[in-house]
Amino acid sequence: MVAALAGLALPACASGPSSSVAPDPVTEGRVEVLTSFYPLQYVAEQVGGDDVDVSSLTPPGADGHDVELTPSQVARLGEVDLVVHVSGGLQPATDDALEVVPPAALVDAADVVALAPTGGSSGPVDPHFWLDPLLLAQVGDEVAVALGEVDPDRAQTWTRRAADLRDRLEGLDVQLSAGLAPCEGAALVVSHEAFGYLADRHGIEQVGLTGIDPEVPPTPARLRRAVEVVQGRDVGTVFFERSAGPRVTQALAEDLGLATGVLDPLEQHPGAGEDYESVMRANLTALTHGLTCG
Amino acid sequence: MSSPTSPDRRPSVLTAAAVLVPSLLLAACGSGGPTDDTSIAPGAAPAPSPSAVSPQPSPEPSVAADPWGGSDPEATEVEASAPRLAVTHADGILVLDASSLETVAELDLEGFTRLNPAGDGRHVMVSTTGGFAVLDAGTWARPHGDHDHYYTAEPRLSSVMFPAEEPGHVVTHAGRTVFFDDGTGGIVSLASADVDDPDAPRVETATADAHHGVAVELADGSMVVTEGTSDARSTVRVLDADGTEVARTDDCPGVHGEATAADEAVVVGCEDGLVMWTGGELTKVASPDAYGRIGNQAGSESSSVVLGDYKSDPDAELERPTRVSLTDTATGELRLVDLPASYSFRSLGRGDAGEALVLGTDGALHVIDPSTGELTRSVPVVAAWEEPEEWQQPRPTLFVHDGTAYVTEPATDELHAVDVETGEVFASADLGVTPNEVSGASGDVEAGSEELAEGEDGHDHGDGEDEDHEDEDHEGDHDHDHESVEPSTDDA
Repeated sequence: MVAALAGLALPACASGPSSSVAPDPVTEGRVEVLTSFYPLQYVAEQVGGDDVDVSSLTPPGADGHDVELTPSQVARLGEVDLVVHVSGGLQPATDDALEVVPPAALVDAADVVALAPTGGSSGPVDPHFWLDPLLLAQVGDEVAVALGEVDPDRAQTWTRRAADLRDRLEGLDVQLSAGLAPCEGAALVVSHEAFGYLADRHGIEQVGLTGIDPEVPPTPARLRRAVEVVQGRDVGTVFFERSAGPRVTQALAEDLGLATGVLDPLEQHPGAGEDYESVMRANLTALTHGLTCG
Repeated sequence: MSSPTSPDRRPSVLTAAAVLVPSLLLAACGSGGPTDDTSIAPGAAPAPSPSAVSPQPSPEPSVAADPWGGSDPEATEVEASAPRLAVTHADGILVLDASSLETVAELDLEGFTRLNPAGDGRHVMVSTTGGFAVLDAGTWARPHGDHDHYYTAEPRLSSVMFPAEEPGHVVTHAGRTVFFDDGTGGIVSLASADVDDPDAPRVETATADAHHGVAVELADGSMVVTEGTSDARSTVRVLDADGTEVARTDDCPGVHGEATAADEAVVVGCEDGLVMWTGGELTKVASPDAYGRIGNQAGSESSSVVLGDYKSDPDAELERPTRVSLTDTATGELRLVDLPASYSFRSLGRGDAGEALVLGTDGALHVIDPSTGELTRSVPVVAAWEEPEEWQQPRPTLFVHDGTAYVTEPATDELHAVDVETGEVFASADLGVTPNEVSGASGDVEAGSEELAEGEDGHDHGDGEDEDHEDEDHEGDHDHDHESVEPSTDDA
């Protein structure tokens, strides 16, 4: 076993970026930050600005959940100046790799933010903290501290940018609070239960609806289960991550009397021209249209 | 519209490979890091064999990269579990979306094949010449906290094969999959999550003699197994996890066919009733007739009652029974239910609530309340049919998943989807080929779904509650060697 894998390791050793021929990034004036998925990448970019190179373990277009790491990615964890991650199972492969390849510096959002158990119970923690902008701001502050240790000369810059980011995220929170205040007590029915922190912050009840794919007409048995979920609740809309196809839209309208909406959990890079804040504002619009608000 | 490239995960194994390689790299470069590989990936699956590892680490990060050799298709995340059906025909296997009945893939495979769910929600076992092959239906789930994530990919036939001279029963239970080779009496058991992993540990045992047998592994590692020869078999043994016999009966003539009911009750059919393994005891339940043969059975975790066929004519060439048996494993009570039509060995199934389902030769799906034996509904689904003389020949066949009964209609090359609760035939598809067997993969978290990566403690809440027991797969009638996929041995 060792021999077989050592065969892999040797060529990488000769040509890999970790050997002594690679320039030290800090002395080059650049700080390298590796983040595990988009919202953390966004924070690192905002705080680091033009002074850091931020990369993500989750490629554009891929979901932050369950990313599998290549050997070179695992090696990168030990090469960069700072890793920003959230432990606890969102990316088990990264959790594991970080134990084996200790990074030079690490911000683990799970140590920064008080992660809550899912469903308010004693279940496993819900990692989707970034859907509450105030919690994401906490991570921004911590990234500034960590960058200050990597590159103390620019500590003031990091702190200032983190404060700017905090200002914007707090502004976003004000917008969300104003927009969702009339919706307090409403049921947020989602296919992907990623919005627990957002719902809790604004007095909304997240209700998971499994078994309905927005692009696949559901079987009668699955529709019945959906009816059971929404029954007795004041629900007007089911939120998916993607736009529902016409047949699904029709089935939900006919059998459940429900419209469909789109909420982006921001587990993927939102694409050109969009960023965390613009997507969150779009989510707010979708919520105020779809939730039953007084 | 989609998130195109979520990886095809086999967590423990991939994690082991991915983590181990760079660790060795670091050690070799003298830049620190653990050097003892046993400390690097505690609890990880065995390392891949050298030939299965891609020769070069990928130069660029890529989630599509597959440390096992790049043969796996790319995955797409979907928002709900995407159950798929596998349908055999003369030239291969169709894979269909179980909701829309649209064809997802057409796979070529020569010869007569049989299908069984693999027990992990993703794969389907294909009994073929040479053994049990593995069909990756390309649909699976990953648990995340109190919700799951779902993925689909292109179905494919794996290169993994479980060799067998005469591949017979495949039994999945409690996250284990057990294969029985009728040609040798050989038994292979492994974690259901590992059926597509050529290097996963397999537990291999054997019965004293080759026979058409079956083995069921329970949650504690104990095993209910038949014994006999190709001429006669009447023994059921229970072995503990170490293989020590803890119970035995020789009072089960013609022993054949198994099912598992609620509370891990296991039943095995006999020509004069059945034998139950419940509460640590083997109990014989006698048929009301001296010859009252129960073989093919269907159990449900939702019910203590097992549905079985019932044949009472020892001299029949091909008996066309019109009664089924309902045996309550909690009480040992055996009840016969009269049906308006006969049925075949591919007619039995269970609904989500434990409803006993029988696809009759009158073309109707008969729904029976297992606790009362009352025929609660008969839903016309296909045209009336007659069981063919040859057991391998296509005939209307039932497969049940997630509240839906799927019924093939070979006469019209169609597949129908019936809502069990209402009886509505809500979808039909023209397959373009004549369907023979049908099985499926839930695409959902099951008891046998892949093991979770380290660090995901507490995230597995898959309990297989939606899982049908794969007990409907059974041989036919008067002949006891029907399980073989080799037609030549059929009337041996």
